[in-house]
Amino acid sequence: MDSNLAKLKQWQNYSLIIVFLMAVLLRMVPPIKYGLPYGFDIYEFISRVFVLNEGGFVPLPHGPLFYYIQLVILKAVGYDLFIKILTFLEPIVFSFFILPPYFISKQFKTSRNRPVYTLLYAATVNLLVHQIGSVIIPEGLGILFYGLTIFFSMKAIMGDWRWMFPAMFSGFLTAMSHHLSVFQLILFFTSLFLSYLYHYLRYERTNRLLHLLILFFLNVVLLLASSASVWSSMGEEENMLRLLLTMVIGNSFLPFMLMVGAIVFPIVIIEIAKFVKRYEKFTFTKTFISILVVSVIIPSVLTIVFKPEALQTILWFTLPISLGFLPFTIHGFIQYCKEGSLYETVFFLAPLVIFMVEASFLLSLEGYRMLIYRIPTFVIFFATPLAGYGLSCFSSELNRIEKEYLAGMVISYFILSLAFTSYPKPEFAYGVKESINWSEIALAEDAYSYSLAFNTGIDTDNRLGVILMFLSHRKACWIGNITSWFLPSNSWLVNVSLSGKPYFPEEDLLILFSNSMREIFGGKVLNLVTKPSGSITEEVVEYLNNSPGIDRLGDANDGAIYLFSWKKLNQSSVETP
Amino acid sequence: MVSGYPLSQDRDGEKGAFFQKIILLMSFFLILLFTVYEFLDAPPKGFVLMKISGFEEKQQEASIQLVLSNNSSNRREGILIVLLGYEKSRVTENTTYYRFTEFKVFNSSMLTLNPGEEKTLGLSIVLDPGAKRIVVIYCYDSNHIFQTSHHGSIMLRRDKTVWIQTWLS
Repeated sequence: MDSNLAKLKQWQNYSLIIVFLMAVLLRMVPPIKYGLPYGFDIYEFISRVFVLNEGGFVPLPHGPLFYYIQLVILKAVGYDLFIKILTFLEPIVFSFFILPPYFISKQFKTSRNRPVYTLLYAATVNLLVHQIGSVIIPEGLGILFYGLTIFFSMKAIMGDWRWMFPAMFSGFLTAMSHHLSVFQLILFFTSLFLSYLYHYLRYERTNRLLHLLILFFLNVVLLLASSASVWSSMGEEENMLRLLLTMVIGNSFLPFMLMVGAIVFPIVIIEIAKFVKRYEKFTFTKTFISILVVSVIIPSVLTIVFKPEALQTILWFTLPISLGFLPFTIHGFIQYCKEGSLYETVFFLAPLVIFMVEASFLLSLEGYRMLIYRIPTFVIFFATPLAGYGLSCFSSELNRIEKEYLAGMVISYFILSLAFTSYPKPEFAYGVKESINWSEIALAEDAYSYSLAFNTGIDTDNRLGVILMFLSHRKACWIGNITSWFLPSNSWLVNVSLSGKPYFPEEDLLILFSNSMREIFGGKVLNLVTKPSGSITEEVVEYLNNSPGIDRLGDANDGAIYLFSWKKLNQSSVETP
Repeated sequence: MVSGYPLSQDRDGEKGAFFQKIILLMSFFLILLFTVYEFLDAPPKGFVLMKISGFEEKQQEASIQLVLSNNSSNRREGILIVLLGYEKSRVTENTTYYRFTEFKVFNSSMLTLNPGEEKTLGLSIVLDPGAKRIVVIYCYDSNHIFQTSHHGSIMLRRDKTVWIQTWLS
């Protein structure tokens, strides 16, 4: 018996190692494949670190923690080693950030639960692979503290209320790391406060719950104050939390909606939980089919109505999630509701419902609805323990070894589909090419030198614009406005990509041009998804290659540098086409 | 109910143990295959870069300074072609080829670039009356250069070609 126990324990350890290896393998794909940091956001963020390193001031809109950690590494090891650490070591470190859902899962007080499945989901779900580790961004750090805060809160709710103190500290670190992560935490604690207040008033008037309620409320105040301190001292114009709050305050119906919501929300939560507990007919098959239908049809219809060109992107991410993640999450949630008390159920139900309300609210706002793409990562991260529990329950319901074998095979392919979709090609990512080529970096370096020599601005898209910022330590004169999130830049490339009609600009201008902007390569002039932008057509390329006065100064296969020069054109007898 | 799962010996705990082995091992090997595929699909890190570092135009002559660098681990043997473009000259391109039409070949010569080598070239070009632009091409795959006539079209594989141009006053 002892040796069996030892073997079982050994296998469980091996299981965790196998899953963790998967997490690291997936997150190391971009650095090994490209030899460069993946995603172009990182170049923009690190350009800010360079400015800090030189003693300058730069807005840190997400919160200072991520930037200062990078700054410490840069100061400690120097530029070359810093870039190597950023490229190859930090993805491995960020792989550990998937642990909070595993810790949460270990708190489930039921023998059927296998937390290794939670870790498996955290390791392989496409959005989590992408946002935590593959790209090294403040959001990854924010999600770590967001997860830890939820974990500590769960321990406080299920056990000793004093766990709320580490939760508050972790919440503060979230606010210092990432503006949207802390926004989700504010919603999380608000939902818990309202729901447990109703629970307190109606079912359980204990001192313990009263302590928790006071601390939930204090935590919301602390998180708001911390966030306000970040945007007031670190640059408010780029802080998305402030933007969201401004947008919300601007809604005249909001006070009324909030008052009604505060009363209705906890009642809805408790009644849903009671209904799920009572209702006996939830089988896995029914859940699987209904979730598959709903989670594919609703996002597809909404996308077709609001942003049809993003349909491929939506399907690319939602199909694997609808097959391999959501049905198990709902199944896990139902089983958790049935087996746990009403008090325990509220912990998962209230935040999930408020996240759905948040998503619906965002979708209803004209001009802001594209921000919806930022929400799923937080919801999925929060729901991962439920998905792991759902898979555990599903496996315990398999009554024959043949079924276990068959189901294991099928679900392994679901897991593969989740992992496989972590790195979409431009045609599945709204025309966005996330990887950067070495040749593009060399071209950006030359474009910066030319701009100094000719005293001209450089027009390029966000993708290469951030490379310019990175290489020049934010000194490059980049025509394009990264801080303007909702209006297209009035730059030549953006204008031409929107109209398809090339023109000669009024001032000398360098164009840092890449194949990733071109229609024939499935690319787009990316000016963030919230802005309208199109592709560079063949007509425009023809114009660049054949119009007098547009010199082609450099070429590196993947792109080229063009110079519009009035000086030369004015000396020419050739008329502008 | 017991806290945590690992050592619970109830029936539920034993059920699904085989499923767990299958799902973890198979997922691991599928993901391993996926990562190997991704690594094999990696784009080349090396590239050739050509840029203009200086240009001077006199009445019937132009001089142009170029920098050609081979930022790859492969030796590049190719042809440097200098073209003069006239009123009707056109450069067109598709996903595979560049086509230079109605250009006059001023000069062409073999040029080899060793791995990591950077060469600075100075070209002096005697200008014809009516010449509108100068194009310099470096094609490092001479098997894929197609020329129809001296003043006709030149087609080159775009992934083996870099080119620059400057317009004349």
